[in-house]
Amino acid sequence: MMTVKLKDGIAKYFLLCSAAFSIVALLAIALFLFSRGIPAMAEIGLFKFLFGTVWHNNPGATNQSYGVLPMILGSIYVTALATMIGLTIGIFIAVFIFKFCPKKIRGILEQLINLLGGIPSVVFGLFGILVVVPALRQISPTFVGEGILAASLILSIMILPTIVTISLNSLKAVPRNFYEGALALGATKEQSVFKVVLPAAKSGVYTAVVLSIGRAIGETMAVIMVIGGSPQIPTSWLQSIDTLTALIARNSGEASGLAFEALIACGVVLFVFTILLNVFLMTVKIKRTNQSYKLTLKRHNERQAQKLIDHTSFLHLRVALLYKRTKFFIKYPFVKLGQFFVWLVVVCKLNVICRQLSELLDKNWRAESRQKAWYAFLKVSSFFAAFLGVLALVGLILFILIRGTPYVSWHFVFGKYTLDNPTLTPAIVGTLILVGIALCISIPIGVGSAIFLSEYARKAKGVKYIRLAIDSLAAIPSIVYGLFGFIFFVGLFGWSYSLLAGGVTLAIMTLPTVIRITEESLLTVPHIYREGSVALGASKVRTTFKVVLPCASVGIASALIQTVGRVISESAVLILTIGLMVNIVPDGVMSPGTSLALNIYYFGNFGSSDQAAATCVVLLIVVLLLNLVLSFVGKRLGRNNFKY
Amino acid sequence: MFIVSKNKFSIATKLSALLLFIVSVFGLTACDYQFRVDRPIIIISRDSASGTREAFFTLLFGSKQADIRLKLGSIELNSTAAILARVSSDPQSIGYDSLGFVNDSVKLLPVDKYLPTTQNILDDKYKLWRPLSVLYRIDRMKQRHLSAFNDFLQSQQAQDIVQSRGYVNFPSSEGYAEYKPIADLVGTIRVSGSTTVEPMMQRLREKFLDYQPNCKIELTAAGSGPGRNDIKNDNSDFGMQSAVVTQSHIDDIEQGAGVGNVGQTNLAIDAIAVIVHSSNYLGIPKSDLTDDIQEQGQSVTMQNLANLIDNDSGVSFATWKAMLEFQ
Amino acid sequence: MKENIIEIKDVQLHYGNHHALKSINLSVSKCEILAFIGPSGCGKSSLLRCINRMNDLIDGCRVRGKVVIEGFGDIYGKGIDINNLRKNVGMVFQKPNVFPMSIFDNIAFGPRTHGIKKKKDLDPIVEDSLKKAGIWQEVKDDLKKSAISLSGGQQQRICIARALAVQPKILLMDEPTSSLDPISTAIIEDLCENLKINYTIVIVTHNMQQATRISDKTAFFLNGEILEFGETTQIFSNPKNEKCEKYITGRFG
Repeated sequence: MMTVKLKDGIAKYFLLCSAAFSIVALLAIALFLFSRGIPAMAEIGLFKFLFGTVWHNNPGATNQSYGVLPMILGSIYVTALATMIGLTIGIFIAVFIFKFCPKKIRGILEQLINLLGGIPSVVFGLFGILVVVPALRQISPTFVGEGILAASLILSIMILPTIVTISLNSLKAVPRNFYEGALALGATKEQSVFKVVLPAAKSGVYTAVVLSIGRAIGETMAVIMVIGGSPQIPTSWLQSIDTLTALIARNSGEASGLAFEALIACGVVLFVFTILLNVFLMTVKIKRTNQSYKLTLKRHNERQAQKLIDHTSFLHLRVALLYKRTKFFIKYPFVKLGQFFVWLVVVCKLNVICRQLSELLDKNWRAESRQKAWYAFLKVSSFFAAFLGVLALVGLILFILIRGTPYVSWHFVFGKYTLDNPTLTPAIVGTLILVGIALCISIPIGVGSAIFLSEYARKAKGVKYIRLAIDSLAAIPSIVYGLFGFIFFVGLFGWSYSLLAGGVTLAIMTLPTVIRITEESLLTVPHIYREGSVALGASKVRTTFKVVLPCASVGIASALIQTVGRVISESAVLILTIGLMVNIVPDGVMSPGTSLALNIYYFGNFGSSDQAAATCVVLLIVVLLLNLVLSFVGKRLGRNNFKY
Repeated sequence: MFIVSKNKFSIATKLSALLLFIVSVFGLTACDYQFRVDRPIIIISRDSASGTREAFFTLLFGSKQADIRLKLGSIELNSTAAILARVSSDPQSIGYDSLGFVNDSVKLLPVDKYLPTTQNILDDKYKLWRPLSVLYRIDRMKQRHLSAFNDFLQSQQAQDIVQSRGYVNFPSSEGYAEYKPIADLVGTIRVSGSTTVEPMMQRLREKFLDYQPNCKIELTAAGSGPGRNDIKNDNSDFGMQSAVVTQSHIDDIEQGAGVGNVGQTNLAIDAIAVIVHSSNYLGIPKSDLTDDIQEQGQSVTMQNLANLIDNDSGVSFATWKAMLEFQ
Repeated sequence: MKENIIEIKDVQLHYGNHHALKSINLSVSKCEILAFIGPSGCGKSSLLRCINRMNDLIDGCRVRGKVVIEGFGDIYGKGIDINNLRKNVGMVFQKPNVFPMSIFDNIAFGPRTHGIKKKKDLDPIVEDSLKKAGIWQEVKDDLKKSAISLSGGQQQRICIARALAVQPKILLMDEPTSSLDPISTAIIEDLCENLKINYTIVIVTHNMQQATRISDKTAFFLNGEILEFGETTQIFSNPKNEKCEKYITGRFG
């Protein structure tokens, strides 16, 4: 049976090559970035680059200066604030879905959060320009709405789905007997969840945090639209500043010479940071404690409860005082009556609720009830967080729909593009071509790598490096991919601005997702199937392709659909690689073009917000359809699958 | 008494409803979309790739314009249209934009007492104007379709389009010839560069394709700077420019194109308007433009514009009032 | 005296550092049922999996010694075609592991692997195997039905039919009825009685009554060694080894 052995050998070789592709890609990216960025840093002076506070790169200027400290600080502040907000709300939402959510709503809520995760970042950017920044402008002392606060608010909504999904999965993975054991000791539902289950899910939450930090620091499109763009050291939440990603995206098109190399150096900074973050994630292991979780009243819980009561009583007093003061204003009719009346009602409500709360907490002074009060408060917080999350999503979608639907028409989507009547035809064709290229490359290589990792080399020594390469590729910000695509495909390969350059770069970017999802689903195929097939005399290749792979078909279909979603939503990569040609239908892969998401950016920046909103509507419909297809495929293929 | 499960929704819904209430109250009561002269100025500017910015800065600062750093805290936006959108929604803002783009969603601020009317521009009383042009490689003009397009750009039909877009025709002593379509003309023409020129170029493109249906024109716009780079690196046939093309620009392009190989065709004159929010009483809507001198105290001087924008000018205006009163 | 089809000589097996099988010597005669009994974790399944080299799938597993199978020689020697070996030594697992395909495809998987592709060749094989496994009457009307929609007992019989479809000489069964209800168990035990005519069966079982019911010979395992081996009737009525006696009478296990 020589041919079987030969087939086996060839297959293994191809799969190994697929898996090694990730390492090659990572090395290529690192190589090109470092080979141009490091000399640039040397020429500018490392200290002057990283800690210099002046960035001035006008072409033709004699006083060019490349200090990126303001941008580094901007990135750090925006990321930190976004992560804090997103993490708090996200964990509470996860807990809510896990335990406190009524069963009927649970599915809908999870779908909504998924949908939020599929919305492209440009849509968030548009929402930022049109709603968040003007709103913040009203409360800003300098009347500037842009800045850290605006960017963080939007970023926190964007990272919510990641945090919620991962935290929820970790909560679900906690063995049920932890929770039941706590209940059996007499704890309330909320005490069990917050004191027992949530700490047991710590590792998942930490993963979520690190992933969101990675996402936040690498986010370009949403940030660039609301950050302002002034290269100054941030001193306030509401001032025009800049981040590394926005700097690169904004300036790459025109910069040349040392200015461009300086931008690549910024890309190096981002790259190094995300790799470090990734390594940190892999090395920090949170040990899951296996000891039994007894509910003992710890000192700090008592103190917490006491603080809460004191604080609430204090609030009660302040509110009462405010109430008295507002009575004073009745004498002055100059004050807008409506405003005053509304305030009155608000204050009364606040008063009543605070009194109720403090009564509840005062009543049983025993430590036990204080404990329960604290956890009840946490439970209320989780309700509230879920409410906020839904509000954000619904608000966003409603806003886009209201703003954009009037301008959506058959002609807008499929008609011929003229200057007076911009249409989406070039964008749709461009998007389809991009999706095609990306899928043709990333699915075969991705599935091949996943098969290699799960079937052939699960514990081999070199596999560690392949996994590291894949995880690192996943962590690299999209704008760095854009830079790489620009240097490598547009420049070095000589393709110039083209759909092919954009498509191939997107393929590399989506590769880690395909590998991860496919590998996960391959790993869930029960080992007994493989054994059954091997026991019948089937070779490894046959077992893998005829038995294991069909079982994992749900996963592969899911990976495919998610890749499509990602390609459709991505814009930062495309800005630097496909040339933003919005008016002509591309006639081949080598011509420049545009995509739906990129068009939103174009319309938002270069033209009218109406068209931008309308494109958002179209894009949202596409994303929604994809989500539906995904769940439909999941159910359909899942039906035929094994029960285990 | 403290059985949470009974009151599962009551506190939560109360708190949530309350906060929703507060938020909407804030929203209703905090709307204040009026310009106030005792509030800060917010500077809206183009990014450094922009020819409009380069032109504006050159007019204010002269040849050293590239060395000028924009006042820290200004908002930098990527396109002409974005500036318009931003200024029209921010009462305290001041920006600059191509006059052809301006509509009645914003008002125009007189500079040194003059408004940007065609007469004021031609008389150089309103000093903020720049030519719109295209650069090309002279040796490329040997190709028929490229030289035909170049001829078209200097024709009467093209100047009609220029005028219809709200720009000023580039003065020509001999007048403009009619463009005559050439039979069987084929070829691909690549045009790139300034976003200011692009909309007009789109119209010119459509007109040219009416005459020469077998040609193709690829049009992209990333800024005047990239337009020059594209000519230098031969990524494009015509580079749209929205600022005066200086000798140093030409020297730089010649490094890639060859000495003496750079040609220029002028398309139009475009004024750079200083724009403010529609509630700003210092400004005049475009439809009310007049050649007359504007009253004192209502216009901004070129010097003050320079002081406002230059980060290192030593002068910083805390409010609109401060700028108007500064001598 | 029947001739030996399997001869196990001085086999040692290590899982990493754990010495799971210590010097096993055993002979299996043709067309008989041999039962492996013994407490959990004492090497019964491990030895069973040595016979068709399924232990190769486990990382860190080392096997020394000889396993001689008629027609192959020492299967741990050089130049052995493993796939052909497994074709001839079939296996039925503890949990029914029908593939998520139709019944027909499940049974046809083996023959297709070994070169039989045409439907007209596959049909008789499938029918024959299903009949031998005693499930033909129940499924013959709808062979396209998904195999995982069948009950546990039916699935296990499909697994048996699937193993039979490649025409093995030996059938290895690793606790095949431990996850099934008594009725399915009875059906499968009857099946074994019928199969014994043409196949050699080695069965691992926890259920001593099952061993007495169906097997001809029995081997008692403890801590990786075979402490007693002989005719089933003799072992269960008059065990020679003391520990074996204790196990059989239920004093440990």
